[in-house]
Amino acid sequence: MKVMEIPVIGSRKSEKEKIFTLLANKPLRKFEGLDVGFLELEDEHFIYFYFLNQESEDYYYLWDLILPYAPVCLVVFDFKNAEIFNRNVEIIEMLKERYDTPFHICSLPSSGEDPGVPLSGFANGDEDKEYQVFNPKDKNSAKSILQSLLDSIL
Amino acid sequence: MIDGLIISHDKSLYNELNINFSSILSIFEYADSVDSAKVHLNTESFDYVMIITRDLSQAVEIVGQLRADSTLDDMPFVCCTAGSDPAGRLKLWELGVKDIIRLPILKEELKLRMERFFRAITSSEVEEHTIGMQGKLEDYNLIDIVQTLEQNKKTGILTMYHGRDEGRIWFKDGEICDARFRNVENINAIMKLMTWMEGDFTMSFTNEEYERKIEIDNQQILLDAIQYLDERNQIMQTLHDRNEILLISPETDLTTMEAENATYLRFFQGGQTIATFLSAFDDDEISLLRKVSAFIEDDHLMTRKQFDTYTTEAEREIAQAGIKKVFKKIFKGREETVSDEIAVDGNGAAMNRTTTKRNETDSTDVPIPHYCAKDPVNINSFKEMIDHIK
Repeated sequence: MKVMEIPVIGSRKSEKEKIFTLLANKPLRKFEGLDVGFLELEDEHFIYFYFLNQESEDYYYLWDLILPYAPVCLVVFDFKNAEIFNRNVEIIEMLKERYDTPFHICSLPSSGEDPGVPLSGFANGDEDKEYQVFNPKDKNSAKSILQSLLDSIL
Repeated sequence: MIDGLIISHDKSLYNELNINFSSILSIFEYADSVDSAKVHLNTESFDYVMIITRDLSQAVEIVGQLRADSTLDDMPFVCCTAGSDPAGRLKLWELGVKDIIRLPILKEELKLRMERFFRAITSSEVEEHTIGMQGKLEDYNLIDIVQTLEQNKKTGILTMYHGRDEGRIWFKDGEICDARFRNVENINAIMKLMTWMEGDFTMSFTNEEYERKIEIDNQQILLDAIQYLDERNQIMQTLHDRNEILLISPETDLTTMEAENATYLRFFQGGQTIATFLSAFDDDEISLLRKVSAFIEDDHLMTRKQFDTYTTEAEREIAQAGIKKVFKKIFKGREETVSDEIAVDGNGAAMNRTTTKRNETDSTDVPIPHYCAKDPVNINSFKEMIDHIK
């Protein structure tokens, strides 16, 4: 069995189910401070998604345990929500400071209807980074995000 | 723990249930429609689904739509509905609901009906596993169980439950063949399981031939276990109550510690008990307890009371001498790392965090609890497979 482990840093607890519905194809497993979603591929290949919540600082120690060993980290938040946006700018700056792990930024619109317009240039020095958007109604958007996420670490 | 999904178009009914019965329903989620329920059911595991609607035909429709999904064939359904139409109720039974609770109903009766329903779904799970013997670890510890199975020359699998953890021991004619707990195997797993004094156990008797991976006989295992428990208890007696919360001292500088020690110590970030520390790591408990003992001796760990006393003293000094002096005291010798601190609210707990940029020393011998495979994977093969997802 080959497993790739991808931490997903989500902005809000309430969004994790949306994210897992898009990314994973197995039931979510809940642990203290950590939820795990599984995407089963072919030939016993799996991707495990570890959902790390920004809201609960009590579990930030899990970031140190997981992020340094992950090939890539997915950061998901709603670009259109100013408060969440500003908080995530801080989080992204912190990730860059603390870990060598590459990160990939995606938006998950809170409202669900409009995927929103990708923004760029909000994290200093990352102007060339591609920002993507999950469309909650289209699983293909998750597929293309996963593909470009893997492209970014190849 | 029993996890339930409550489906109701009327959230006030769910709220009422939530307020009155949270003690017996344990964990449950709410869905206001079949579509929303399907999202929950696809992403989480539930032990039962409860449909609450006064309209009987609506209950039939909801159960019918969910039953169309073959992955829910084994899911127990219970309906709370007000309708009295016999044909509608018959349809619900035909759709395989486990129980129909007729509304209105007295709270007391509903509580009894729900408790009976939970017992029914729990006992049906037990039957599936053909349990031959079960009990509580408070009544029979592992030593008692091993002796009983040895005397009766039993073959089968002993499963032990402790909180969220589960461990297994395989027996052949009363002799221990193998044991497993998380990633720990053989004798080491038995020693871990020996420390469980609370929880449940079940013994499934089988006629299978288990490969003997533990060559030592039961008596020697038990003697070793008793010695192990004695040593463990001696160390425990010198420590704080295993359920008392311990915190990292504000004066502790994780950056100057060995990576392994820093990882162990970082577990106490925000406050953790010795009991949770022991259950979080697979390592031998005696060595873990020695670590805690050393951390306490070196003043790296302190109780909540000590922590509060320290911070109160720090606050007093702020009032007397200004913030700069206290800042220097708290972060003695750490000024160069302050800029690496996590950019959050800056409370005491968050400030203890330190930089963990990946390097060679970090990636070796650091105990990672259960996650993060260290084996590199072939990204290309994953990418090709993602292309094939429909």
